[in-house]
Amino acid sequence: MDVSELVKTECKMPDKRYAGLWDSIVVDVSIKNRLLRSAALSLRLRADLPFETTALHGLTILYGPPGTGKTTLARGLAHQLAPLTTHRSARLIEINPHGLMSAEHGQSQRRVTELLTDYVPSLVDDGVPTVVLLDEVESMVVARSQASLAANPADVHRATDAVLTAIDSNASSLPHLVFVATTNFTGAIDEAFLSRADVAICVPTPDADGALAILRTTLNAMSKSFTPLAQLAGNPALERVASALAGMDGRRIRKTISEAMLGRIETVIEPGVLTIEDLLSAAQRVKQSAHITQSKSGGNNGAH
Amino acid sequence: MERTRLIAAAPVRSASEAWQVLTTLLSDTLERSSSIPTGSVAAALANLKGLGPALIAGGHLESKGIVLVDEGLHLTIRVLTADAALDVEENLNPVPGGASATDGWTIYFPPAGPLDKTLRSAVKSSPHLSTAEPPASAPAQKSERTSKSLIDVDALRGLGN
Amino acid sequence: MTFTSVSTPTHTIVHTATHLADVILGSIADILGTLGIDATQVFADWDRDNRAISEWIKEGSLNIVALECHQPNGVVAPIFEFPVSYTGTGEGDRKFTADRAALARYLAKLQRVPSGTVYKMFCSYNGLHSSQQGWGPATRASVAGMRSYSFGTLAAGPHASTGLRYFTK
Repeated sequence: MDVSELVKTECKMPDKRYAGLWDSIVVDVSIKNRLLRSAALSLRLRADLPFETTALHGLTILYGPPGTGKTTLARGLAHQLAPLTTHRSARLIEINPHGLMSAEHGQSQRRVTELLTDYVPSLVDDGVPTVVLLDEVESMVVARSQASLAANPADVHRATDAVLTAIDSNASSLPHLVFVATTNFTGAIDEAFLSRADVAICVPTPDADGALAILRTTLNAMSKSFTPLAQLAGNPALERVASALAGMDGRRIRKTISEAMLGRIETVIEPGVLTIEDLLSAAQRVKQSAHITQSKSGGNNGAH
Repeated sequence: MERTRLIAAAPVRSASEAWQVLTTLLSDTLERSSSIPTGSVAAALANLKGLGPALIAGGHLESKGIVLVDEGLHLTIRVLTADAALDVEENLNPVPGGASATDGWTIYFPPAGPLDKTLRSAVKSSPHLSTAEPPASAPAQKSERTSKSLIDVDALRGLGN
Repeated sequence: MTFTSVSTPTHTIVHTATHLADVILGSIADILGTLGIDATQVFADWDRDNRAISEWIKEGSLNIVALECHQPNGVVAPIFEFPVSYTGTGEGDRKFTADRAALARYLAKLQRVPSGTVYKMFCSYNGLHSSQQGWGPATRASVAGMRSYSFGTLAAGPHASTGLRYFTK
């Protein structure tokens, strides 16, 4: 596999396809502020000061349970950064870490090195501030202390070493590059990688207020096709649904609406006739299936 | 950062084709820079037409290779032949650093044994070519890119709290 | 999804021809450089000559590539021959080799020729052969009465190999 195939996305911002991503994720504003400010500060300091002074690696980690919007926020970050840059331009590069590690025996290290120290630097050679997204990064920086013999520990160690070396090298030579790594499993990540993070931001599951905001945003968006849903979005009783869903991940909260629609044939035919009772029933079903999933997997696999 | 790229010649491809691949890699890398006009790299190497493939066919670019040097750029390109060519995993993407290359770029050719005299004569045709020993590392960048601010502070103020 | 192949790579006569043509012409350039003979025309005609030699090897028609050194006093010496031997279907694990280090040691012992010596290149064939641009009928100088030295195998591939013989007065 050519390493260029490991780059899922390479896109200059602003790009209208990414314009709505940042706002689509409902999280505490402090989380978004911290993410955006850390990227802006990294670019600002590293352009003017040497690594020995700043100790900034240009690495941010977003961690938290699945479905909380980490990847979407990371994808939206470059679009948010663009208006803050000198040339009003930024770039997003998204890497497929699974493709790296599924290579033939012993090739992972070589691919990581070629991708992160040669191919990606060549893409960003123009100096445009760039966000490089390493989604589900635990697949590329496996905690070396936990590597099992069956998983070819030598190859895993070497690949992780290669990532760390690349991060170190790019920290000083490419001050306009910011890595954003997302993970559901911080415990599975190599400690040396975690220690290089300039900032680690937890993106938790929404509380009741957060769930309410997600429900309202989603219903309002759906009302563009099914007008009566706008009234449902403004219904004060929606708070009861949100309370029932508090602590679920944002993706699951959104899906509760479609789960509610499939509860009756009338709402499948005409989603606009959805009621609060439909949503409350769906919330119970969603909670029940989440409980069963957690029981089967032996507990909550959320963030540490 | 010193980088090395490998190119496969015969039996994978003829020496002429390998020379073309090498010059294309150099052009693709350097001509990303606004300081280097399109076609200027090929023009600088034009006087080595025929001699370039001969260097490759004679194995003279196999162990030491040519070295491209500019501010922030130090690239060695080796061209392998015979069985070694079969094992090459080529990376022909433009080399990082080319976008900020200056017009002071130089390609250093290694000693070429019986072809040395011809090579020394040929490189005189361009100030970008040399048979001298290349520097061990790239000269530091004097370009403004490294000190230019990436963030517009006024726009940052607009973020507020 | 990633697939892994365990099959042995197949090398065709094209690979062998490409390899041997490069070694022969590359050696000719090195010989001329060693002897101090102007090789400008070798470089100028490189693509044409390389293509021709490669095609003839692919056909199996090329027998010998000869390099003659024509001195200003009319003497034709030294003469270098690159005989090509065809070794069958190309199966098995025969590799691509080129003994350049030995060639370099061999060339170091050659005596330079008088200033003004020019070269001529000839090909001889095993029967019918395709016509190639820039190559036409010609007559080689005779090597009768000349001392000959054999380098042995200069380069080889799965389908053919080439050697080097040196003739001098």
